[in-house]
Amino acid sequence: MLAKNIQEQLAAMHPESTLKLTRLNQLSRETTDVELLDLCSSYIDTMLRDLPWQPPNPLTDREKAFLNFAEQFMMAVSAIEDQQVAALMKYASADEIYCFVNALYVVDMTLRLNLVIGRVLK
Amino acid sequence: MNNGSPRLPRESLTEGISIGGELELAIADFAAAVMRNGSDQAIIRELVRLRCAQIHDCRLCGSLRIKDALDQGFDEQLQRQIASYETSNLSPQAVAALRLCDAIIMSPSSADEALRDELRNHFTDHQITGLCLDVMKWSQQKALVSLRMDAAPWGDTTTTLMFNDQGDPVFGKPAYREN
Repeated sequence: MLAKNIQEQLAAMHPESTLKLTRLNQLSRETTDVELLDLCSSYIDTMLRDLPWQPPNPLTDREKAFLNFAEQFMMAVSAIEDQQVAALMKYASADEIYCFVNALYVVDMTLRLNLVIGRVLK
Repeated sequence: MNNGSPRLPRESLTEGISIGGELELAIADFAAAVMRNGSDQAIIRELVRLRCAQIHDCRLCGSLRIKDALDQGFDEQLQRQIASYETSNLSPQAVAALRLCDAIIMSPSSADEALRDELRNHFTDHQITGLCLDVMKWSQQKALVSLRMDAAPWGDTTTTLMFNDQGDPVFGKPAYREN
């Protein structure tokens, strides 16, 4: 989600786009496994801030597969390998993977906007 | 290059659930709002869009040229300067926009006071945040790139891209006569 101060700043300048972006973030959480999305979001947020990340609990193989995908998605999306998607298919249907990946786009880019807008508009 | 077959075959996806599902429609809705409310600096927007395409290696995005930008003088000579924009002949305003784009996509933690000051020399806060929203919009293809579903249906032909009054994309004709 957009940080509250960023959301307010953005909404003052781009009200319609901010409203749609807020709705997009809500919908991302409603259309995929929210625990998995939050885990990946926590990882991405920490990595984008150049901080060390610790998982909240020991990771399951399913979580490891999705985190592995999320890490590559965040760092260099074009370098994702067939095996990384194949690993997700052990745990989710094609529809679920498609929705997860779209939700990951929303989370990943929103976290980036939070960080950069917070710095360039100070 | 990001060639090969889609990683999720189209026939394995359910129309209205994943393809054309609620989330995908909301992403398109957001993208359309960004286009409706964005800057009229077509060449700057096109440079930023193509930088996103380069970094994400999106075949579809790379095959397109926005018609408004072409009408305002965008050409392949400008396009070729994007990859090495730091040593290019692009305007200082264009370089500032591309640095903002790179900060968002590659290293958000690198965004600093120098970037902030540089951006403010060339853009208003409204334009800066508009560019940030553009970068998010132009990065929506990350999902398709990751699943290798980003092939352009028109192959290698560079094609024009327009937006209707609702902000939705309209794909046009070959962008250049030589194609």
